[in-house]
Amino acid sequence: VSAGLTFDIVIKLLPGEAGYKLSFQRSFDDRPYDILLPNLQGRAENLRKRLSVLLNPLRRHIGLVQLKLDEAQTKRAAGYLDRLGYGMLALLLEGSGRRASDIMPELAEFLLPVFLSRPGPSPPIVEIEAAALDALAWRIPFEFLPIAPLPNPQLNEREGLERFLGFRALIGRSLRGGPSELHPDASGRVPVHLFAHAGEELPGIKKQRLYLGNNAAIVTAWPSKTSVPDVFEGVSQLAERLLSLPPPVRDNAIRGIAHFSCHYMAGGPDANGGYVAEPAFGFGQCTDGSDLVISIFELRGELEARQALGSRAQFAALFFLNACETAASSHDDTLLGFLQSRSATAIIGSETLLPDQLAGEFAIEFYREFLRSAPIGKAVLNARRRLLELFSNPVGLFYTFYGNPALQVSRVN
Amino acid sequence: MPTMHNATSSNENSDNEDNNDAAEQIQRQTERMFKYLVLYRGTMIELFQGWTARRQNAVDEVLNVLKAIPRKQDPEDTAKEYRNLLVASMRRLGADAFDTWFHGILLAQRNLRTMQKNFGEQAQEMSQDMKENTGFDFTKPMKESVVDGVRDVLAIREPVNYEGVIALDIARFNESAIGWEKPDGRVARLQRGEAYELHVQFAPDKLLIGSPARGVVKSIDIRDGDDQPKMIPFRLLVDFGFIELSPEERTVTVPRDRASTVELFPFSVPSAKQQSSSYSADVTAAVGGRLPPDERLQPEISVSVYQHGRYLETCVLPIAVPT
Repeated sequence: VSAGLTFDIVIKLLPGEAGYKLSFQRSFDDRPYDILLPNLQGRAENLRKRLSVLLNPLRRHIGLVQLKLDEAQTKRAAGYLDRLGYGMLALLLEGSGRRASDIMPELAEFLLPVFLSRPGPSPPIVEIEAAALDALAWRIPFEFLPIAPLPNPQLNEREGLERFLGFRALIGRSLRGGPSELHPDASGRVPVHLFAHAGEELPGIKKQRLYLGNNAAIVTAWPSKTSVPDVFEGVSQLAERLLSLPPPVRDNAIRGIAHFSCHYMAGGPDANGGYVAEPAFGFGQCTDGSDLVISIFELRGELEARQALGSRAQFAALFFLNACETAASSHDDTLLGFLQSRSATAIIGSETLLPDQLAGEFAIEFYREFLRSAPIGKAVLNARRRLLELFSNPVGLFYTFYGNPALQVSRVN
Repeated sequence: MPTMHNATSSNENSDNEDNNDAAEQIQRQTERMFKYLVLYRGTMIELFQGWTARRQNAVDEVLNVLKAIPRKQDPEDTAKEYRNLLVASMRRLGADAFDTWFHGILLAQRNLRTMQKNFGEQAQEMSQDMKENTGFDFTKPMKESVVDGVRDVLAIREPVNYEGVIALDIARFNESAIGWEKPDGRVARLQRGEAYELHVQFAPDKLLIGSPARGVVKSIDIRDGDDQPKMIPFRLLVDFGFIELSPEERTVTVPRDRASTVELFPFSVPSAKQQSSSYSADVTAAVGGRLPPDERLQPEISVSVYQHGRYLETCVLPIAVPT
């Protein structure tokens, strides 16, 4: 039992002399399934750094505009995901003398009772456990492993995607316990700080803005088309807005959501064989006509400089970073690392480039549950499943949640 | 919306009611048993620990499950946890665990008073007694109903074939018409604060499609499953489209060869909400002053259809609500 939840499966990485032991533990009988990984350290880091690029074939297959995949496209999407899951495990296993093709079915068999005992609306809860100084386990995208049981008989290709863990379980990567409550305002609506692209109106971004406007309390919306004269001023304004996020109610309770729907470029190699020097947000244009591109480096520097002058603020909000590659770590200066260094403990980010309309659909499906006080782990899972149900589209797996999966909006009496 | 008739015959209704009663009885008895298990968990652990049974692996399994679940505030929640683990346990160990669980649980239930009173000094004696009485003379109906109940839980749920449609319509509460605005994508205009009913009906063919009075009609086709059952089970998940209204779930069984009864889902459109003043100004500025003051994302009512946990279809009914 951790952070208010009873976990059904706990995944741990235990360091030892001969490398790491990856352990899947069933909570109901405490039995472990252990895999020795002698060369994990460097491989897990590299895997995470390459994940965005590794997802490219699937991302290209899904496309930028189309929401609904037909049967053939869905079958191929499952094929891409199989390659990714098996390839990932094979890479981690190298040097262990074991094969992914043996381990995967064994692991599925081991976890089968947990899934059978959690049918329908009560899916299993998985905790990826990490020691305070070693968050390596969090860096492995277990969501892509095909280790959940398939429906039998399988009625269509969409049901073939049900075998991936990310579609079948609530997965938590708890950050120091993470907050478990999000307090609404006095009227019962959740305060949202909106950081949305202010240039050309993209349909997915517009839909998110309208949905949040209708169903939450948007406290601030930044930037505006007329408020940012140039990039230098833009960095200051964004830092100012972030510093003005409200402090936590108490240790485990936060007050609002910081929702980003904009462009983001992770640093490092890009999907087209190029290279992006610095990770940065893209928010449209400044009034001087230049692109409003704010690098994480500059933002970090601005915040540190202000802090040296006496401003101190924690990022005590749920950060939904609904932009491309916001959870990626292909560069040493990552957005995730930046937010975590500022004490953000509940973050939803994306692993690769996201089509605008699918990003919009995912956000709305997520908020549809989360704003009704569903635990965030369940809201993320159901948003993934909903896109699968409605469009046979596995794009929800591109999102990763870091934090306590029990975080939920407190009800107002 | 025209009145929809229930075409199920009275005999079938009677059979269904009997079946439902039996199922409910089994469900009640099973729930009672698990609640009992939750309340006397500690005693049960001690009891099983002292029980040197022939089926040692099954006893170990039972002990593991009993110890695994922390007790929750709500006995019903804990009972659900137990039930889930029990199902997993039985799937793994088969009949041995199955027998052990139910002998133990039912024996303990029968001896509740004795256990409470004599536990301690006489524990060993009780364990011996249990050991010798694995063929305990349970009250037969109780045992059978519990066993049937658990078999039902364990049964692999084959898909049940159905070829037909689901039709949605909407009406004012206790009235029949809503006034569809057909040229504009069949949008139904609703008023805030007013009460309505969502009507959901299944029918076995495509006759409903194209019927001018219908709201939204969508096909439901399941073809690779079982053809035998005359009544087809579905689970409906209704989202009324307003964040203030919780989604509603309902399990229904519909006849294979005729239209089902109309399922009614009453709801009230929430009253208008206050918008924070800074929002309009900020957002209007964010899009360069182009945001019309009344621009809204229109809600929609959706009904998702599942069978045995499998998603089948979502039927969407667009609505318009004036700001």
